[in-house]
Amino acid sequence: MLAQVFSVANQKGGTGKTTLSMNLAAGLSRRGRTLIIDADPQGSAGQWAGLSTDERPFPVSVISVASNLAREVSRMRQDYQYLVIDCPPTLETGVAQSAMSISDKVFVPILPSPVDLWASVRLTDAIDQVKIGNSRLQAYILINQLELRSAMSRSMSQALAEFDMPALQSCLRRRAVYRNSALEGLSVYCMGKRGESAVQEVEFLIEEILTS
Amino acid sequence: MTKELGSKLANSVRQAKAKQPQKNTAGMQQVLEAPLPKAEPESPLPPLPARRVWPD
Repeated sequence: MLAQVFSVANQKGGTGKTTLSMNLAAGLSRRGRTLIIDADPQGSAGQWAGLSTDERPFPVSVISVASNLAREVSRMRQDYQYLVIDCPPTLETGVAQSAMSISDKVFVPILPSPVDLWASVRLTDAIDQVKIGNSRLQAYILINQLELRSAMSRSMSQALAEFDMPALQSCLRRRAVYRNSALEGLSVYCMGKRGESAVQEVEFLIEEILTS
Repeated sequence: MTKELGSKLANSVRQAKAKQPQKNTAGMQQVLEAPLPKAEPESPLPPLPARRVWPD
């Protein structure tokens, strides 16, 4: 069976693409063979996994693909159940579009802030263009770093209704454990009691992704 | 307050969408993993004119 390919994309930096990719992949690896494809020249995914130790390795392999992404992914689809592509924060190089053109689903993490919302508008156009060649592509917005006490966070649903792509019901809250897990080269699944709430929301997210 | 803020946010997104350039499908196809053009070698700067010293 061919792998399901999930891209994590947003042309804006700092929206949590790598954090989402790493934890999503860690959760998916509990369900089937998973690989992370680091398509971002900044190499953050590789750097993250590189901080893990031999005693506690990151549960998913990360490979960096600098060129011929489509060809590499079609080759790897045979060997895995899930491929997660961490896209670069730009549309200018065409790499993010290339990743989406071979993906089943693309997730767009957006922070609950006006600037992030505005920046994501352009991405929705790019996704529409990619869909012309890849009609199976499904795109979803994911609210990242949600703060329940913030009025801005609570107001997001109204703004998201303006986008031509649906938002996932699941969201990731702003939690220190996501940042701390990166420092240790781990996912929130390996953070013990500190990671429990984060694991719960990632699990909820994965269930939604796999059934949507 | 949340509702008011939500309206403002929604309105700002509508504005951002309105400011989007027209979609250009052909242009997008071309950008897909198109190799970046090679940087042109910089041409040497023209020599600075010799400083002219005015006689007193």
